[in-house]
Amino acid sequence: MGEVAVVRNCLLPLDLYYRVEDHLWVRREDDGTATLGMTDMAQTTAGRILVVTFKPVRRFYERGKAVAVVESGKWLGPVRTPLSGELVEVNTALRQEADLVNRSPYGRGWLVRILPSAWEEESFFLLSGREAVKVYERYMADRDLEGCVHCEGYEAP
Amino acid sequence: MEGNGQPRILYVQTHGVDMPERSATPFYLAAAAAAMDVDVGIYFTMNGPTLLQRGVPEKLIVPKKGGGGAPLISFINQALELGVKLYVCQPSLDLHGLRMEDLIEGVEMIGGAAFNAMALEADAVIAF
Repeated sequence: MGEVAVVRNCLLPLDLYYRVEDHLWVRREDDGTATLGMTDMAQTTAGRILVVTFKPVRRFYERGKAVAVVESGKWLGPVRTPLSGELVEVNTALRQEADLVNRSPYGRGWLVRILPSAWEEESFFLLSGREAVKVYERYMADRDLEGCVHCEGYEAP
Repeated sequence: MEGNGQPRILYVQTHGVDMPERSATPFYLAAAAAAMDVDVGIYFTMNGPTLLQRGVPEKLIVPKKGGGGAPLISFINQALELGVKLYVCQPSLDLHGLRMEDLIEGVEMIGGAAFNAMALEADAVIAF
């Protein structure tokens, strides 16, 4: 990975795209697919992730539809894809070790891969790494949030 | 619950404030279903409506071994945020001397016939 920004101890790799409202990152892969994962902020807010349940692969999901559900001891929520497309792969390692999302949010804790059907139109709604840094700074200041928490064994990007 | 092509689940909660250990699960499961884009409702009948009285969910602690259980309101709020709909049985309200204005916001009152119609339309009905 390239350069990584730090906002209140939350790490944000600058070479990713972001959907700050949903606390997701997106990486466009060379094969045209897009990998999705939770941001450092998301894994901190959720607390230790206990279970990740995926929607069926090889199906098409519209932008905004749930492709996974993440459950922690104190929170439960959908992972809504910011890109319409086919769900081509899910991170099966999370079935055994869901807290990889906490330990390696930008690495081994990735969530799903989508084959986007409308990247040109829909990537317009994603932020670049540098844009996301500004939005996150404001987001955390507005809510007076403390910084991100990194559990033992955290794998920095 | 609306006919928009989404799968539908209807939960039924019959337990009330007398059994705190049975209060949270229907909200949790309904929230999980809603997070998966399932159209979800919970129907509160028998003692169920007592959970929805104003001021009760904040004080009712869902018991956990060793203490430190969460208040029921956190489960209710999570379900409502994800779009779970709450329905209350009109005769059950009467049974407990409750009126709609005694209940938290966001609850809809329906009768027995409407409940059955909803059950027939749902893909699954799960009762607690």
